[in-house]
Amino acid sequence: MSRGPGSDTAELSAARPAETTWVEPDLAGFVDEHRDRLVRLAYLICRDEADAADAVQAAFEQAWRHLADLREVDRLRPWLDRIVAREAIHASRRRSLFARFRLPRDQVAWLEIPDANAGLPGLEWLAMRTAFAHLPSEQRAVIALHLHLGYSLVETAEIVGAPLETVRSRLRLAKDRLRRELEENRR
Amino acid sequence: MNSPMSDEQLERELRGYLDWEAGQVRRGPTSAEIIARISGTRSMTRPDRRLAMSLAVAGLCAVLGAGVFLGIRSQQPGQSGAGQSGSGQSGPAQSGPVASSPTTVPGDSAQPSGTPSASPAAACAANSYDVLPARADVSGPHKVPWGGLLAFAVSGYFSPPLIEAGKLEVTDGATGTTRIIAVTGSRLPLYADVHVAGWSADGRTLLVEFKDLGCDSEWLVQADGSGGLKLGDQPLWNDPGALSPDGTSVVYSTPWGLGFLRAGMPSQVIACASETTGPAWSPDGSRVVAVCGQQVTVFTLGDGLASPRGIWTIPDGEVAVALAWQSDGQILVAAASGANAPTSPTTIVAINPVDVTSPSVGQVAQVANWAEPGATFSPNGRWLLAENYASGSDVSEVVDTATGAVQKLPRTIGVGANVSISWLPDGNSFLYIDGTSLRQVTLNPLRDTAIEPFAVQSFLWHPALP
Repeated sequence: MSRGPGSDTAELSAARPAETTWVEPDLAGFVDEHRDRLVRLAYLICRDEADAADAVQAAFEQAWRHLADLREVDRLRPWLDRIVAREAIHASRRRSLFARFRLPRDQVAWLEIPDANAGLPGLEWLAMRTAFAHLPSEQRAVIALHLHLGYSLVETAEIVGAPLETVRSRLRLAKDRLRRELEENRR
Repeated sequence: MNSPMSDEQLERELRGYLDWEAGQVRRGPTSAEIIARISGTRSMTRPDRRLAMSLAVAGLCAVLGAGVFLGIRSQQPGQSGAGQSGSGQSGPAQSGPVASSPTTVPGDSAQPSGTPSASPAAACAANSYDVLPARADVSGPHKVPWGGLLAFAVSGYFSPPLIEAGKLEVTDGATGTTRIIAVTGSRLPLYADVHVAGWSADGRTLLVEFKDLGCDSEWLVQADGSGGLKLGDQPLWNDPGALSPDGTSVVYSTPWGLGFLRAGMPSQVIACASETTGPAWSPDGSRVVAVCGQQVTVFTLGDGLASPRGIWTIPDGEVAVALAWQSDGQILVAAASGANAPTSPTTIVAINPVDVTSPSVGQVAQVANWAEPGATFSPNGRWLLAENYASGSDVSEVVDTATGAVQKLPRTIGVGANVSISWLPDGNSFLYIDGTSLRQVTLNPLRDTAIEPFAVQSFLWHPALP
């Protein structure tokens, strides 16, 4: 494989993506169309409803502000999912950091504390829920995008901004850990 | 004994669980709440009890006379010091290398055409930041052995009236004196964060990102606490941007080319054929190298925003995992193939771009392992700090670029995601944050030691005193 400079010095095109079938959406329709999917995606990744809400809100604001820059309509959905996934990962890391190092429990009583009588997981999912919560947010993002939203691994890699092999590694590591915890739980 | 769960069985169970779990979300923001926030008329998504808390605190502060945090606001456009207005607004006339050019397209400050009443800028302006004057912090950290300056970002939950806040601190490592330079976040319990993104070459200016819910902004902050200059109000896409050596301009990655931000100018994008990654300034600040698609590309900023020019094509199937413009003028690229990762090799290439139409390119070293993107070269180009999954888990390694020899580091430091990795000038040592602990790795011989029990989120070290 050539590594010489010869053919590698061509001036790059300055063209933007082609303007094809883009139709400017109205704000309400835009939010309604994507809200439910984005809230669920964010929640699966960051495991906190308030953080998920923040991630979705921030994503919508970023997306609406930059909407004019996106000229390929078929890129809209993965583009939004990408913003939400990254916001949710960031929120998850941040919560983890401060929960571990900065927040005495008695000072954060106003943070979300699940109602013990509501939303109790079905027994069939209890072990999976616990194991899934133990995964790093980057691995949860890969699983949510690939197995819940149905993106291929290539598309998932583009959305999370990581190489395909990294995404494969994250998926494999996540499965290994889930399998290990689930099997320990079943013994 | 049960047989191990197959991949298919695990995926089937996972899908069922994910469908169920996603249906457990009891409360997301309603469409009306999202639209109201975007339109700048309402600014809450957090639970009502947090809203009630913030309103109670704000009311209490108003009654008590508000105190220093509420009394000091960002300065208005045209004023000197902190809070100068950003993109597209009037600002100080600044001489510099960049002028408009036909090669540019509107940057991401451009408003969507046909946007209804929504006004994100207005919504963000409503969350304007508090910038405090510098003051000594009596509880500052102890002296650190290498001296110099350390800029720390500290984010979290603070006492009222700043419910959620981020602080920017600068510590003089020689004396241990710490100054609080800026505080963001303020009175509402909204997401607030600070990131230190870079130092100017003279150690006088910091590039800082203040991140609030949906309202990210970039500031040039004087390290002595004398003021700050807002560059822009938009998030910089995927990375924190790179500050020019003279501390006046920022370049960042966008899906369409190289983003360029300078005080007093609208943001611009120098278009190239694909998404850019990893921009790095030349030592004299006149050019920028970035990866555009598969092309290692030089953007010349000297006399207008010239067309980007590819100087080396990364082989098909490979990605650039590290990119640096060394002080000796050479560009170093580490490229790795994902085809057979993690066992595929990483190749390190040096490019001498004296003449961008005919740069010399030579392979420096080849490493047996796949390196993850986000690897970083030492300032002298001797070492490549990288991470890989070679043994099925994250491993941090340092590669001797002269020999290709690899040493495993004692601790996994998250090279690609750790924004706090900061090389010391001799190129044989670097600092990083592990959790909230500041640590130093020295190479040759290899040693990893904790320095101080700093409680920080991110930091960048600079050798110069302001």
